[in-house]
Amino acid sequence: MSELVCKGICKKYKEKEVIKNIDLTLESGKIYGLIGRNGAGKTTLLSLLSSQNPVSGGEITYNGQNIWENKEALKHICFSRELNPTSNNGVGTLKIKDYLKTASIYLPGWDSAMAERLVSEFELDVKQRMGKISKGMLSMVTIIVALASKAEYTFLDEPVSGLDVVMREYFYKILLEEYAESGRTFLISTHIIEEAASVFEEVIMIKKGELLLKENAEELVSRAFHVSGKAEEVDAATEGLLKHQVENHGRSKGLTVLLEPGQQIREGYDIKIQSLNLQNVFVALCGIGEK
Amino acid sequence: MRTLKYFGVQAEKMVAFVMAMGILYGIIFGSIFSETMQERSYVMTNYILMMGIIVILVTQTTLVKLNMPLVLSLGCGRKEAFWGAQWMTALLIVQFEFICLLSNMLFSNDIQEYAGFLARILPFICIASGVLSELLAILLLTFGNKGTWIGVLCMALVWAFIGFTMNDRVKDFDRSLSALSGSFRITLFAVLLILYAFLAVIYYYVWKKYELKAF
Repeated sequence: MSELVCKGICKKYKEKEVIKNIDLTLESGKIYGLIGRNGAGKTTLLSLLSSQNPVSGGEITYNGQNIWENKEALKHICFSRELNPTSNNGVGTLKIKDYLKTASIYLPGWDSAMAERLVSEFELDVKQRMGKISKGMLSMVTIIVALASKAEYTFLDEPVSGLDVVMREYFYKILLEEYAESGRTFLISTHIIEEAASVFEEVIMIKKGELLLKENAEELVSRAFHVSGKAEEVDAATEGLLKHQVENHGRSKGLTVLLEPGQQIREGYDIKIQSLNLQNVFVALCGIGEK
Repeated sequence: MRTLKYFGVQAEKMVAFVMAMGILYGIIFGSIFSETMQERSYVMTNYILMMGIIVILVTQTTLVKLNMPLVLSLGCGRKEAFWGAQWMTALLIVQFEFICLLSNMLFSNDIQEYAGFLARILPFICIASGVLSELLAILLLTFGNKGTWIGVLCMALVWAFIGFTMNDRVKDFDRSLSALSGSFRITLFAVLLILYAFLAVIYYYVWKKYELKAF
């Protein structure tokens, strides 16, 4: 079983620290969801994990080997970035077929048959230039590169950005098919949390460059509750528990609790307890005003 | 191997483009201004060499802006990408040098003295373009687009000065150049290559710190 391990990684741009002391282990054969607010450091983290950018501190290893400039380790990792080309510059001047051809040269496990099949299923015209296609089509290109790379560790940065609901559902379907067939590890960052939640085995949440949690998605959701009612009742029932997103409405109060092992909400109070979905948990932990 | 293949293909695409444009210009302008087939061939070759020199000059900045970030995003390391860029520049220089030598054999002293002069000076200019290309890439990586424009402006001013002052001294310069011994020319070549290597070291040092962002 291979592992991609980060020990104490941090990343600074001049004086600004954008990734702060993250310890993280990605085990093989799982689908991870990477969620965080805009500017939390998701893309930066993915670029560090794939050795596209250097860390400012700490170390990232693949099976014990540092991945920086390590061709052997990088054969097992693919980060398919979100593309934002302009029509006159850089990647925007390339045709889709040229981009995929370059991917086939550099990604050692490249599956041409799969790439062709996906191009056909996405109905992409490979002669079009990247700067002239829609955001959704660019997402399709990044999905093709990620899936056809056949890399053991595959990272996707907002792969469903710009896709309509039909294509999003199709993406989750082919992702699960590929996962079932190959057992590859996927790390997917997304803002459309609830839709993707059923696909994630584990969730990695980052907030302001720090790792907030890394946990089994189902277990996380099972220990998160929204408690509401009269303020004094809610306070009494949740005494000693860590509270998030506290909302006061006159004499009423609502808050979210994340129960640790052995903890529970006190019974016998006139309160309403609701289970939460992953998106609600994320908002509770990372919402505006939440520290 | 993958980097040799990728950057090698990019180099050949550029050479093919320059050859096609040179032949096209040669046919159009050669037909207007030249009388004999040999003169038209000279015009064609001249265009190929001039465009080739410009291609060499802009190669590294083009690679830094497009191809090198692209291959980095697909799992290539910085060292590998750097050597790929050097390989591409070397291929371009060697191929255009070969055309220079061929041009020298075909046209020197046959058509015009100027043709021969160009054939004798262009090999040095090919390598000098490679040197300047490295410098522009360093300026781009260090200062962004501003750095490149400053570099281009400086080069344009220098070349304009040379062109202006040499305007009616081409024959004198050519005589001086022809009078230079073979060993001096070899030394000049060697100096240009050493300068290229020196700038390449700085280029790699700056490139190692490149941060891949959205593209």
